[in-house]
Amino acid sequence: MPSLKDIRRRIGSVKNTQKITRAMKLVAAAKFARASASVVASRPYGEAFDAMVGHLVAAAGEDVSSPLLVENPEARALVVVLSTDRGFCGGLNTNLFKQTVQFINKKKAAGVAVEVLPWGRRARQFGAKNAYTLQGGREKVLEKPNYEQAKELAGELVKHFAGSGYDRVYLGFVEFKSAMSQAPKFIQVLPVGNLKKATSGAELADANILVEPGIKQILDGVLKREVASLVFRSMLEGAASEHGARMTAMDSATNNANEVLRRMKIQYNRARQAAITKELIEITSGAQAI
Amino acid sequence: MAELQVQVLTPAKVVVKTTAQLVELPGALGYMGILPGHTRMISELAAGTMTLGSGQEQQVYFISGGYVDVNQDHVTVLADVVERPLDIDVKRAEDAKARALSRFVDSSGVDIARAQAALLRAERRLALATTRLGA
Repeated sequence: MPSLKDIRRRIGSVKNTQKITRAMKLVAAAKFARASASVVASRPYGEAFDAMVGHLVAAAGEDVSSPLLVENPEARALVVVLSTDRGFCGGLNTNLFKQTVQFINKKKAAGVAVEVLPWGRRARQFGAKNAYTLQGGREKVLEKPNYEQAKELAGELVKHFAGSGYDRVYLGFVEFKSAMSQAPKFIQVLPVGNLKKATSGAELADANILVEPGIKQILDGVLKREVASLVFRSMLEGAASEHGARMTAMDSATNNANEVLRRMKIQYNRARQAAITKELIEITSGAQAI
Repeated sequence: MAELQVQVLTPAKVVVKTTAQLVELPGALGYMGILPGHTRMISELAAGTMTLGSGQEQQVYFISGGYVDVNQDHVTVLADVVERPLDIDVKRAEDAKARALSRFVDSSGVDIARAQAALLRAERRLALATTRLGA
């Protein structure tokens, strides 16, 4: 049985840990409030932009092409994994990586050569551990999501797509649903393809759009911005997921610490009572001996 | 009388959502005014001043470029950055202008089109900021 002093020390250490987890929870809660507000605030732009690109692509019809729309047979793909830098966020990254492995295996089974571009420290470690072919990588992507950075990152992807011979570029990130639930999601970033379907049918009827200065001049720019917009939204979602997951993880850690403390206090009281009883027996048996 | 439903959006947020009789925008080919009943249009925007409404209720903004989508009296402005004249950081704009100008002096390995765009942005920002201060 551990001595009273040992137990007291352990109680102190658990209390300290609890202080830390509680502080982290509060910080995460504040950051989460901001991050989830950003996600909501960014939605109108994303939706409006998607709609505009859809109209534009529909109006462009068959006679206009852009290097960002080319759909080659898929032989080589780049999977971008957008993870957090820090841990302490429950199974957030683990789930993402699990899904990533599945996604990659499925692609490999279809005969696609897959390379991984990690964004975030955890993704880097994941990529290195699994011996995937890495394409550089960077950290601190989710720290302070801003559009400037998203544009730069999107530029990188476009360069990879247009210059390095990838047929597809996918982006895996954690979609933000609520503070309690986040789900890994993979989207195709390049070629910009999913939009064509969304606008076929009725929308094609009013394809008589006046485009200034001209559809050929602006299409590339629009598509690049669409990629940036996708990357930006994924970053915001990823950041909100990170803080939400950390908030819940730290909350349950704080609660667990309470449970541990409760049990250790019982143990402490028992040990104390045992010590008192032992002393009493010693005293009474000592008195009897006299 | 028909009115335009105007939405000004940036990637980060909804800047303003309002109705107006007239919207003036810095198109890539020059400033343009949009009135109700405008034809279906998508246009690229340059850096410059965006004006919503006229007369008393006029609102003026700086926009850094982007796109506008005009669809049946719904005007959606999709810009990278939108600022009100009072929020313009004059010092930063001046620095940006100086930086852009210095790129023209030593133009080895410089993306001229980008430097030109940066210069235009800085100048238009400054122009708007100073007219507001003067008024």
